[in-house]
Amino acid sequence: MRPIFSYDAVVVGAGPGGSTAARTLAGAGVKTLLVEKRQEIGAAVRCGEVVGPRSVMARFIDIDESWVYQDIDELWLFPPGGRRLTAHFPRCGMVVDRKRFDKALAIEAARTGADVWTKARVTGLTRTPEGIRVHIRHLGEDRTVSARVVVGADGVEFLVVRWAGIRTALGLARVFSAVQYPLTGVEGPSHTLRFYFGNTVAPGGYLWIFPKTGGTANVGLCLSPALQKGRRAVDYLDAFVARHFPASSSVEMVMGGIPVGGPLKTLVSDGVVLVGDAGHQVNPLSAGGIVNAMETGVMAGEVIVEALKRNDVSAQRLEAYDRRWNDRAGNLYRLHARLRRMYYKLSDADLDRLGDRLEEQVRGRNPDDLYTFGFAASVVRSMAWMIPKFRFMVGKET
Amino acid sequence: MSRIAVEGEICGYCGGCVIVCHDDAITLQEVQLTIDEKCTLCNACVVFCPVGALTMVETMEERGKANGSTGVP
Repeated sequence: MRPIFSYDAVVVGAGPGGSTAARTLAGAGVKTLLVEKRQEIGAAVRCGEVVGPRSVMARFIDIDESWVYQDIDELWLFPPGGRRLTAHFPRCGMVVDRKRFDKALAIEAARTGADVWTKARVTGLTRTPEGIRVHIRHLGEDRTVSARVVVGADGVEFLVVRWAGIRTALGLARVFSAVQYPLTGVEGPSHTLRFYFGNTVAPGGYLWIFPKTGGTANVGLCLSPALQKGRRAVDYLDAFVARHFPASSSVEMVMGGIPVGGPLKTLVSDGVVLVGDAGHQVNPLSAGGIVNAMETGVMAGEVIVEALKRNDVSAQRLEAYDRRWNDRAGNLYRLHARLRRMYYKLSDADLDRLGDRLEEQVRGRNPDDLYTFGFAASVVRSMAWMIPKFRFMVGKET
Repeated sequence: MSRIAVEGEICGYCGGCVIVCHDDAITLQEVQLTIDEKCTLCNACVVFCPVGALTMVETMEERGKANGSTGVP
Protein backbone atom coordinates (compact mmCIF):
# COMPACT_ATOMS: atom_id res chain seq x y z
CA MET A 1 0.00 0.00 0.00
CA ARG A 2 1.32 3.44 -0.91
CA PRO A 3 1.44 5.90 1.94
CA ILE A 4 -1.16 8.56 1.64
CA PHE A 5 0.48 10.81 4.19
CA SER A 6 4.06 11.91 4.23
CA TYR A 7 5.91 13.74 7.01
CA ASP A 8 9.50 14.37 7.97
CA ALA A 9 8.78 13.54 11.60
CA VAL A 10 6.01 11.70 13.41
CA VAL A 11 5.77 12.28 17.15
CA VAL A 12 3.89 9.55 19.03
CA GLY A 13 2.16 10.83 22.15
CA ALA A 14 0.96 14.36 22.94
CA GLY A 15 2.14 14.71 26.52
CA PRO A 16 4.57 17.47 27.53
CA GLY A 17 7.52 15.70 25.86
CA GLY A 18 5.79 14.93 22.56
CA SER A 19 4.16 18.33 22.18
CA THR A 20 7.39 20.15 22.98
CA ALA A 21 9.31 18.00 20.50
CA ALA A 22 6.64 18.60 17.84
CA ARG A 23 6.74 22.34 18.42
CA THR A 24 10.54 22.43 18.23
CA LEU A 25 10.49 20.46 14.97
CA ALA A 26 7.67 22.43 13.37
CA GLY A 27 9.27 25.69 14.45
CA ALA A 28 12.38 24.76 12.46
CA GLY A 29 10.32 24.07 9.36
CA VAL A 30 10.20 20.28 9.73
CA LYS A 31 6.94 18.79 8.44
CA THR A 32 5.63 17.23 11.63
CA LEU A 33 2.68 15.07 12.67
CA LEU A 34 1.78 14.71 16.36
CA VAL A 35 -0.44 11.71 17.10
CA GLU A 36 -2.34 11.05 20.31
CA LYS A 37 -4.23 7.83 20.90
CA ARG A 38 -6.74 9.39 23.22
CA GLN A 39 -9.63 11.50 22.13
CA GLU A 40 -8.71 14.19 24.61
CA ILE A 41 -5.18 15.44 25.13
CA GLY A 42 -4.32 15.68 28.84
CA ALA A 43 -6.92 13.19 30.08
CA ALA A 44 -6.76 10.98 32.00
CA VAL A 45 -4.14 12.51 34.27
CA ARG A 46 -1.34 10.24 35.49
CA CYS A 47 0.54 12.76 37.55
CA GLY A 48 0.82 14.58 40.87
CA GLU A 49 0.64 17.80 38.83
CA VAL A 50 3.59 19.60 40.39
CA VAL A 51 5.91 21.21 37.88
CA GLY A 52 8.87 23.59 38.02
CA PRO A 53 8.70 27.28 38.97
CA ARG A 54 7.35 29.95 36.63
CA SER A 55 10.85 30.93 35.57
CA VAL A 56 11.58 27.39 34.34
CA MET A 57 8.15 26.73 32.79
CA ALA A 58 8.29 30.04 30.92
CA ARG A 59 11.15 28.61 28.87
CA PHE A 60 8.70 26.20 27.30
CA ILE A 61 5.33 27.95 27.26
CA ASP A 62 3.68 31.26 28.11
CA ILE A 63 2.29 30.89 31.60
CA ASP A 64 -1.49 30.98 31.49
CA GLU A 65 -3.25 31.37 34.82
CA SER A 66 -6.06 29.13 33.59
CA TRP A 67 -3.85 26.07 34.19
CA VAL A 68 -2.07 27.26 37.33
CA TYR A 69 -3.58 26.05 40.60
CA GLN A 70 -0.97 27.31 43.04
CA ASP A 71 2.53 28.69 43.34
CA ILE A 72 4.62 26.81 45.87
CA ASP A 73 6.53 28.70 48.56
CA GLU A 74 7.20 26.04 51.15
CA LEU A 75 7.80 22.33 51.60
CA TRP A 76 6.81 20.43 54.73
CA LEU A 77 8.49 17.10 55.24
CA PHE A 78 7.14 14.64 57.78
CA PRO A 79 9.54 11.84 58.73
CA PRO A 80 7.80 8.89 60.40
CA GLY A 81 8.47 10.14 63.96
CA GLY A 82 6.02 13.00 63.46
CA ARG A 83 8.34 16.00 63.43
CA ARG A 84 7.73 18.58 60.76
CA LEU A 85 10.69 19.84 58.76
CA THR A 86 10.06 23.08 56.92
CA ALA A 87 11.93 24.32 53.88
CA HIS A 88 11.02 27.84 52.84
CA PHE A 89 11.59 28.08 49.08
CA PRO A 90 9.57 31.00 47.68
CA ARG A 91 8.14 30.28 44.22
CA CYS A 92 10.00 26.98 43.85
CA GLY A 93 7.31 25.31 41.75
CA MET A 94 3.69 25.23 40.73
CA VAL A 95 0.73 22.91 41.00
CA VAL A 96 -0.96 22.83 37.59
CA ASP A 97 -4.01 21.38 35.90
CA ARG A 98 -2.39 18.82 33.61
CA LYS A 99 -5.53 18.46 31.50
CA ARG A 100 -5.36 22.12 30.53
CA PHE A 101 -1.59 22.32 30.57
CA ASP A 102 -1.10 19.41 28.17
CA LYS A 103 -3.71 20.84 25.84
CA ALA A 104 -2.00 24.23 25.90
CA LEU A 105 1.31 22.61 24.90
CA ALA A 106 -0.33 20.66 22.06
CA ILE A 107 -2.04 23.83 20.85
CA GLU A 108 1.37 25.55 20.78
CA ALA A 109 2.70 22.69 18.64
CA ALA A 110 -0.26 23.02 16.27
CA ARG A 111 0.06 26.79 16.14
CA THR A 112 3.72 26.42 15.23
CA GLY A 113 2.75 24.28 12.25
CA ALA A 114 2.56 20.67 13.44
CA ASP A 115 -0.46 18.64 12.35
CA VAL A 116 -2.22 16.99 15.28
CA TRP A 117 -4.34 13.83 15.14
CA THR A 118 -6.25 12.71 18.19
CA LYS A 119 -7.91 9.33 18.62
CA ALA A 120 -5.01 8.10 16.51
CA ARG A 121 -3.43 4.91 17.78
CA VAL A 122 -0.15 3.70 16.35
CA THR A 123 -0.57 0.01 15.54
CA GLY A 124 2.87 -0.68 14.18
CA LEU A 125 5.96 0.64 12.47
CA THR A 126 7.93 -0.79 9.56
CA ARG A 127 11.29 0.22 8.23
CA THR A 128 11.68 0.82 4.50
CA PRO A 129 14.74 1.97 2.53
CA GLU A 130 13.22 5.47 2.47
CA GLY A 131 12.50 5.68 6.17
CA ILE A 132 9.82 4.50 8.52
CA ARG A 133 6.17 3.74 7.88
CA VAL A 134 3.91 4.44 10.79
CA HIS A 135 0.65 2.51 10.78
CA ILE A 136 -2.07 4.41 12.52
CA ARG A 137 -5.65 3.59 13.34
CA HIS A 138 -7.30 7.00 13.13
CA LEU A 139 -11.03 7.51 13.62
CA GLY A 140 -11.80 3.99 12.52
CA GLU A 141 -9.54 4.00 9.47
CA ASP A 142 -6.15 2.46 8.87
CA ARG A 143 -3.71 5.08 7.70
CA THR A 144 -0.10 4.76 6.75
CA VAL A 145 2.22 7.67 7.26
CA SER A 146 5.73 7.73 5.89
CA ALA A 147 8.27 9.48 8.07
CA ARG A 148 12.01 9.92 8.22
CA VAL A 149 12.12 10.15 11.98
CA VAL A 150 9.81 8.89 14.72
CA VAL A 151 9.83 10.41 18.19
CA GLY A 152 8.63 7.97 20.86
CA ALA A 153 6.91 10.09 23.49
CA ASP A 154 4.34 7.45 24.34
CA GLY A 155 5.15 7.25 28.03
CA VAL A 156 5.25 4.00 29.94
CA GLU A 157 3.39 2.11 27.24
CA PHE A 158 6.70 1.96 25.39
CA LEU A 159 5.24 1.07 22.02
CA VAL A 160 7.88 2.87 19.99
CA VAL A 161 10.60 1.74 22.35
CA ARG A 162 9.84 -1.93 21.88
CA TRP A 163 9.53 -1.62 18.16
CA ALA A 164 12.89 0.18 18.00
CA GLY A 165 14.48 -2.75 19.81
CA ILE A 166 15.61 -0.73 22.83
CA ARG A 167 15.09 -2.87 25.92
CA THR A 168 13.53 -0.93 28.73
CA ALA A 169 11.66 -3.36 30.97
CA LEU A 170 12.60 -2.78 34.60
CA GLY A 171 12.72 -4.93 37.73
CA LEU A 172 10.33 -4.13 40.57
CA ALA A 173 13.07 -2.32 42.51
CA ARG A 174 13.44 0.17 39.65
CA VAL A 175 9.86 1.34 39.32
CA PHE A 176 7.45 3.17 41.55
CA SER A 177 3.86 2.11 41.79
CA ALA A 178 1.74 5.22 42.28
CA VAL A 179 -1.84 6.10 43.08
CA GLN A 180 -3.56 9.37 43.88
CA TYR A 181 -6.93 10.78 44.76
CA PRO A 182 -7.78 14.37 44.05
CA LEU A 183 -9.58 14.90 47.37
CA THR A 184 -12.09 17.49 48.43
CA GLY A 185 -12.14 18.78 51.98
CA VAL A 186 -8.40 18.76 52.55
CA GLU A 187 -7.36 21.41 54.99
CA GLY A 188 -3.99 23.06 55.10
CA PRO A 189 -1.93 25.85 53.62
CA SER A 190 -2.43 26.47 49.93
CA HIS A 191 1.14 27.29 48.91
CA THR A 192 2.79 24.37 50.63
CA LEU A 193 3.65 20.88 49.41
CA ARG A 194 3.46 18.25 52.15
CA PHE A 195 5.47 15.02 52.01
CA TYR A 196 5.19 12.05 54.36
CA PHE A 197 7.82 9.36 54.71
CA GLY A 198 8.02 6.02 56.44
CA ASN A 199 7.79 2.30 55.93
CA THR A 200 4.17 2.16 57.00
CA VAL A 201 3.21 5.21 54.92
CA ALA A 202 4.89 4.54 51.57
CA PRO A 203 7.78 2.04 51.71
CA GLY A 204 10.63 3.10 49.42
CA GLY A 205 8.75 6.18 48.26
CA TYR A 206 6.70 8.96 49.78
CA LEU A 207 3.20 10.27 50.18
CA TRP A 208 2.28 13.72 48.97
CA ILE A 209 -0.37 16.37 49.51
CA PHE A 210 -0.33 18.95 46.72
CA PRO A 211 -2.83 21.78 47.14
CA LYS A 212 -5.15 22.81 44.33
CA THR A 213 -8.01 25.27 44.80
CA GLY A 214 -11.20 25.36 46.82
CA GLY A 215 -10.03 22.94 49.50
CA THR A 216 -9.08 20.22 47.04
CA ALA A 217 -5.65 18.64 46.90
CA ASN A 218 -3.91 15.80 45.14
CA VAL A 219 -3.26 13.22 47.84
CA GLY A 220 -1.20 10.38 46.50
CA LEU A 221 1.80 8.21 47.00
CA CYS A 222 4.48 6.34 45.18
CA LEU A 223 6.15 3.29 46.65
CA SER A 224 8.53 0.55 45.69
CA PRO A 225 6.56 -2.57 44.79
CA ALA A 226 9.60 -4.54 45.91
CA LEU A 227 8.95 -3.34 49.48
CA GLN A 228 5.17 -3.23 49.71
CA LYS A 229 4.80 -6.46 51.69
CA GLY A 230 1.64 -7.81 50.15
CA ARG A 231 -0.31 -4.57 50.33
CA ARG A 232 -1.02 -2.61 47.19
CA ALA A 233 -0.30 1.09 46.72
CA VAL A 234 -4.01 1.85 46.99
CA ASP A 235 -4.18 0.08 50.39
CA TYR A 236 -1.46 2.35 51.79
CA LEU A 237 -3.22 5.42 50.40
CA ASP A 238 -6.64 4.39 51.72
CA ALA A 239 -5.14 3.86 55.18
CA PHE A 240 -3.59 7.34 55.20
CA VAL A 241 -6.72 9.05 53.90
CA ALA A 242 -8.92 7.27 56.46
CA ARG A 243 -6.62 8.47 59.24
CA HIS A 244 -5.97 12.03 58.13
CA PHE A 245 -8.98 13.01 56.02
CA PRO A 246 -11.89 10.83 57.10
CA ALA A 247 -14.46 13.37 55.91
CA SER A 248 -12.98 13.91 52.47
CA SER A 249 -14.21 12.44 49.24
CA SER A 250 -12.27 11.62 46.15
CA VAL A 251 -13.37 13.03 42.83
CA GLU A 252 -11.16 10.93 40.60
CA MET A 253 -8.68 8.07 40.76
CA VAL A 254 -5.23 8.49 39.31
CA MET A 255 -2.66 5.75 39.02
CA GLY A 256 0.50 4.89 37.20
CA GLY A 257 3.97 3.45 37.06
CA ILE A 258 7.11 5.54 37.15
CA PRO A 259 10.42 4.33 35.71
CA VAL A 260 12.95 5.42 38.35
CA GLY A 261 15.83 3.16 37.33
CA GLY A 262 17.98 6.05 36.10
CA PRO A 263 19.35 6.79 32.64
CA LEU A 264 19.08 4.23 29.85
CA LYS A 265 22.21 3.33 27.89
CA THR A 266 20.75 4.77 24.72
CA LEU A 267 17.65 6.69 23.69
CA VAL A 268 18.04 6.33 19.95
CA SER A 269 18.11 3.82 17.15
CA ASP A 270 18.05 4.41 13.39
CA GLY A 271 15.37 7.02 12.77
CA VAL A 272 13.99 6.78 16.31
CA VAL A 273 14.39 9.02 19.35
CA LEU A 274 12.78 8.56 22.79
CA VAL A 275 11.58 11.44 24.93
CA GLY A 276 10.30 11.76 28.50
CA ASP A 277 8.94 8.76 30.41
CA ALA A 278 9.36 6.58 27.30
CA GLY A 279 13.10 7.22 27.69
CA HIS A 280 12.98 6.86 31.50
CA GLN A 281 13.95 10.53 31.76
CA VAL A 282 12.52 10.79 35.22
CA ASN A 283 14.39 11.93 38.29
CA PRO A 284 15.13 8.58 39.96
CA LEU A 285 14.80 10.05 43.44
CA SER A 286 11.87 12.48 43.25
CA ALA A 287 10.15 10.62 40.39
CA GLY A 288 9.42 14.00 38.77
CA GLY A 289 9.49 14.06 34.98
CA ILE A 290 7.54 16.91 33.42
CA VAL A 291 10.31 19.47 33.11
CA ASN A 292 12.62 16.70 31.88
CA ALA A 293 10.10 15.67 29.25
CA MET A 294 9.90 19.22 27.93
CA GLU A 295 13.63 19.76 28.12
CA THR A 296 14.34 16.53 26.26
CA GLY A 297 11.57 17.33 23.79
CA VAL A 298 13.51 20.45 22.85
CA MET A 299 16.85 18.59 22.88
CA ALA A 300 15.54 15.76 20.70
CA GLY A 301 13.86 18.24 18.35
CA GLU A 302 17.08 20.19 17.87
CA VAL A 303 19.14 17.06 17.23
CA ILE A 304 16.58 15.80 14.69
CA VAL A 305 16.49 19.15 12.88
CA GLU A 306 20.26 18.98 12.52
CA ALA A 307 20.15 15.33 11.41
CA LEU A 308 17.51 16.06 8.77
CA LYS A 309 19.58 18.96 7.49
CA ARG A 310 22.49 16.59 6.98
CA ASN A 311 20.17 14.00 5.53
CA ASP A 312 21.41 11.45 8.05
CA VAL A 313 19.05 10.09 10.68
CA SER A 314 21.18 7.08 11.58
CA ALA A 315 21.59 6.07 15.21
CA GLN A 316 25.18 7.35 15.07
CA ARG A 317 24.01 10.83 14.12
CA LEU A 318 21.14 10.83 16.62
CA GLU A 319 23.48 9.79 19.42
CA ALA A 320 24.20 13.51 19.76
CA TYR A 321 20.96 13.46 21.75
CA ASP A 322 22.27 10.71 24.04
CA ARG A 323 25.35 12.79 24.71
CA ARG A 324 23.36 15.93 25.47
CA TRP A 325 21.11 14.06 27.90
CA ASN A 326 24.06 12.38 29.55
CA ASP A 327 25.85 15.72 29.98
CA ARG A 328 22.72 17.20 31.46
CA ALA A 329 21.68 14.42 33.84
CA GLY A 330 23.78 11.28 33.53
CA ASN A 331 26.03 11.56 36.56
CA LEU A 332 23.46 13.28 38.74
CA TYR A 333 20.75 10.73 37.99
CA ARG A 334 23.03 7.75 38.47
CA LEU A 335 23.85 9.16 41.91
CA HIS A 336 20.17 9.86 42.62
CA ALA A 337 19.34 6.28 41.65
CA ARG A 338 21.97 5.13 44.10
CA LEU A 339 20.53 7.36 46.82
CA ARG A 340 17.12 5.85 46.17
CA ARG A 341 18.52 2.33 46.61
CA MET A 342 20.09 3.43 49.92
CA TYR A 343 16.80 4.99 50.93
CA TYR A 344 15.09 1.60 50.41
CA LYS A 345 17.17 0.19 53.25
CA LEU A 346 16.31 2.80 55.88
CA SER A 347 14.28 1.95 58.94
CA ASP A 348 11.84 4.50 60.31
CA ALA A 349 14.39 5.45 62.98
CA ASP A 350 17.00 6.00 60.27
CA LEU A 351 14.56 8.20 58.36
CA ASP A 352 14.01 10.36 61.44
CA ARG A 353 17.75 10.84 61.92
CA LEU A 354 18.24 11.57 58.25
CA GLY A 355 15.44 14.13 58.43
CA ASP A 356 17.14 15.99 61.26
CA ARG A 357 20.40 15.97 59.37
CA LEU A 358 18.82 17.10 56.10
CA GLU A 359 17.16 20.02 57.83
CA GLU A 360 20.62 21.34 58.69
CA GLN A 361 21.99 20.61 55.24
CA VAL A 362 19.12 22.34 53.45
CA ARG A 363 19.07 25.47 55.62
CA GLY A 364 20.08 28.58 53.71
CA ARG A 365 20.21 26.86 50.37
CA ASN A 366 18.03 27.56 47.37
CA PRO A 367 16.10 24.78 45.63
CA ASP A 368 18.44 24.66 42.63
CA ASP A 369 21.30 23.70 44.97
CA LEU A 370 19.40 20.57 45.92
CA TYR A 371 19.49 19.27 42.35
CA THR A 372 23.26 19.34 42.11
CA PHE A 373 25.69 16.44 42.15
CA GLY A 374 27.48 18.05 45.09
CA PHE A 375 24.38 18.12 47.26
CA ALA A 376 23.44 14.53 46.42
CA ALA A 377 27.00 13.44 47.22
CA SER A 378 26.81 15.24 50.56
CA VAL A 379 23.60 13.38 51.40
CA VAL A 380 25.24 10.06 50.51
CA ARG A 381 28.11 10.98 52.84
CA SER A 382 25.74 11.97 55.65
CA MET A 383 23.92 8.70 55.33
CA ALA A 384 27.16 6.78 55.33
CA TRP A 385 28.28 8.45 58.56
CA MET A 386 24.94 8.28 60.30
CA ILE A 387 23.64 4.89 59.44
CA PRO A 388 25.73 1.90 60.48
CA LYS A 389 24.82 -0.28 57.52
CA PHE A 390 26.24 2.33 55.14
CA ARG A 391 29.40 3.04 57.11
CA PHE A 392 31.46 0.84 54.82
CA MET A 393 30.98 3.49 52.13
CA VAL A 394 32.74 6.29 53.97
CA GLY A 395 36.01 7.19 52.40
CA LYS A 396 35.13 5.45 49.22
CA GLU A 397 34.24 7.34 46.12
CA THR A 398 30.63 8.41 46.16
CA MET B 1 -2.31 -23.81 33.02
CA SER B 2 -2.20 -20.68 35.14
CA ARG B 3 -2.65 -17.27 33.63
CA ILE B 4 -2.79 -13.60 34.64
CA ALA B 5 -6.32 -12.27 34.65
CA VAL B 6 -7.21 -8.59 34.24
CA GLU B 7 -10.12 -7.28 36.26
CA GLY B 8 -11.41 -4.66 33.83
CA GLU B 9 -13.56 -2.92 36.40
CA ILE B 10 -10.58 -2.26 38.67
CA CYS B 11 -7.90 -1.58 36.04
CA GLY B 12 -7.24 2.15 35.55
CA TYR B 13 -5.47 1.63 32.20
CA CYS B 14 -2.33 3.35 33.49
CA GLY B 15 -0.01 1.01 31.60
CA GLY B 16 2.42 0.86 34.52
CA CYS B 17 2.47 -2.94 34.37
CA VAL B 18 3.99 -2.66 30.90
CA ILE B 19 7.18 -1.24 32.47
CA VAL B 20 7.83 -4.32 34.58
CA CYS B 21 6.95 -6.90 31.91
CA HIS B 22 10.15 -8.51 30.68
CA ASP B 23 8.23 -10.71 28.26
CA ASP B 24 6.67 -7.87 26.22
CA ALA B 25 3.41 -9.69 26.87
CA ILE B 26 1.24 -6.75 27.95
CA THR B 27 -0.48 -4.37 25.56
CA LEU B 28 -2.62 -1.42 26.54
CA GLN B 29 -5.07 -0.16 23.95
CA GLU B 30 -6.99 2.80 25.27
CA VAL B 31 -9.05 1.16 28.04
CA GLN B 32 -8.21 -2.45 27.30
CA LEU B 33 -5.28 -4.28 28.78
CA THR B 34 -4.36 -7.62 27.24
CA ILE B 35 -1.80 -10.19 28.25
CA ASP B 36 -0.73 -12.49 25.46
CA GLU B 37 0.87 -15.92 25.24
CA LYS B 38 4.40 -14.52 25.65
CA CYS B 39 3.63 -14.24 29.39
CA THR B 40 5.87 -16.48 31.50
CA LEU B 41 3.85 -15.97 34.70
CA CYS B 42 6.67 -14.12 36.48
CA ASN B 43 4.02 -12.29 38.52
CA ALA B 44 5.84 -8.90 38.40
CA CYS B 45 2.78 -7.10 36.99
CA VAL B 46 0.55 -8.59 39.71
CA VAL B 47 2.88 -7.27 42.42
CA PHE B 48 3.27 -3.94 40.67
CA CYS B 49 -0.39 -3.05 39.98
CA PRO B 50 -1.21 -0.09 42.26
CA VAL B 51 -4.86 -1.09 42.55
CA GLY B 52 -4.78 -4.88 42.40
CA ALA B 53 -6.42 -5.31 39.01
CA LEU B 54 -4.19 -8.23 38.05
CA THR B 55 -4.30 -11.67 39.60
CA MET B 56 -2.75 -15.02 38.88
CA VAL B 57 -5.53 -17.52 38.35
CA GLU B 58 -5.37 -21.25 37.96
CA THR B 59 -7.53 -22.97 35.46
CA MET B 60 -9.59 -26.01 36.43
CA GLU B 61 -7.05 -28.36 34.91
CA GLU B 62 -4.22 -27.03 37.08
CA ARG B 63 -6.29 -27.16 40.25
CA GLY B 64 -7.30 -30.70 39.43
CA LYS B 65 -3.67 -31.76 39.17
CA ALA B 66 -2.81 -30.16 42.47
CA ASN B 67 -5.55 -32.18 44.10
CA GLY B 68 -4.32 -35.36 42.51
CA SER B 69 -7.44 -35.72 40.43
CA THR B 70 -7.69 -35.92 36.67
CA GLY B 71 -9.08 -32.46 36.35
CA VAL B 72 -12.38 -33.83 35.16
CA PRO B 73 -15.16 -32.50 37.36
